[in-house]
Amino acid sequence: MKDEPKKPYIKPEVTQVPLRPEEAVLGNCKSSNTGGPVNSTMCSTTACMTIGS
Amino acid sequence: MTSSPRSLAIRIADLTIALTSEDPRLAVPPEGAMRQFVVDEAEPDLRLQARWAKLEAVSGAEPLFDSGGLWRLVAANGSLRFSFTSPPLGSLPYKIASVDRGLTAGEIWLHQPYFPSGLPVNPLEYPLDELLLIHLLAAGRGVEVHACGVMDSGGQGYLFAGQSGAGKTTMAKLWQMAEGARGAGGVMILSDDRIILRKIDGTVWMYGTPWHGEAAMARAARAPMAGIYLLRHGQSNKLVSLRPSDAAARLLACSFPPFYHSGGLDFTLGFLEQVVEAVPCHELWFTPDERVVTLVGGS
Repeated sequence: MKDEPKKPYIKPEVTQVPLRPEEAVLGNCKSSNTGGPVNSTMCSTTACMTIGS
Repeated sequence: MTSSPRSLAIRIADLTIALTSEDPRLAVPPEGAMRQFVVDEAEPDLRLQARWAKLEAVSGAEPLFDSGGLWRLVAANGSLRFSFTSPPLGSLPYKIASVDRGLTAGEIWLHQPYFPSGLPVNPLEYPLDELLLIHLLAAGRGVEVHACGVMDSGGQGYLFAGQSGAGKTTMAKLWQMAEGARGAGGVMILSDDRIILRKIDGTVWMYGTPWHGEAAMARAARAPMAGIYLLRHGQSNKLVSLRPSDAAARLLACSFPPFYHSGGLDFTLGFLEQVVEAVPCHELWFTPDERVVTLVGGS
């Protein structure tokens, strides 16, 4: 069986990818820092998602 | 007099959550984009009951995660408990959702003194609905990503991922404008902010969700994925191929896995690896003009 040619060595690299924890954990409504009954009309699913990108 | 239990079910990315309550005010049909995700009663993946309660501060439970915002997660009596507090109300939770670790059944308790009497309340109010979905997905089903999803007139799906400010809503609007100018129609924006990815029978599908962005684009539909584009603002429109490892890392940074759950995170990493191996991935540098639609469509 014919040997497969070796792949060229590629030195591993560390790449930093920025994470935004405040977005990633769904910690807050997007339209307000409050949630629940104190602003239940503001915090419906529709209103909470009004500030997207 | 006891009223009959009321129920409703929502189905997102082919996952169904059913909600039942003795109080009709706790099982009213949702408003906004979520309305199109309401389905007739079906066999749900997760069955929940909602009721009023007098809640106390959570104690004696094993803390698992604190979001730093509205919610915390603890383990108690073999269950997972999502506890929601709102600073203006004080330290007591206004809502607790308790689900079994298999995510098949649970209860939602709402702190009655905090809610105006007589008004309907959505027990699944954001972010609980989205939290439950990302946990269901992380149990071997898929992943939600911070992305805009477009299905073109040929039924092919294109994913444009990026964090807030990357241009997801802008991209959605450009696709709509380009199609309008051509008079072709048929483009569907599945969401301008949140897309769920699942692999079913060897095909990677992208699903619309009700959690939209500022353009309020949300559709209960799915498309097979033809391309993944990581958004970057540029001086011109340009596509740069990405190695799968880079694409997976960039997608992970735009995804919503349960970072505090090692099993869920393991699954998410493996799933994203499968996705980027199956679908061409590019970095998309773009300016806000419609030519980018042609560039992507021709790639």
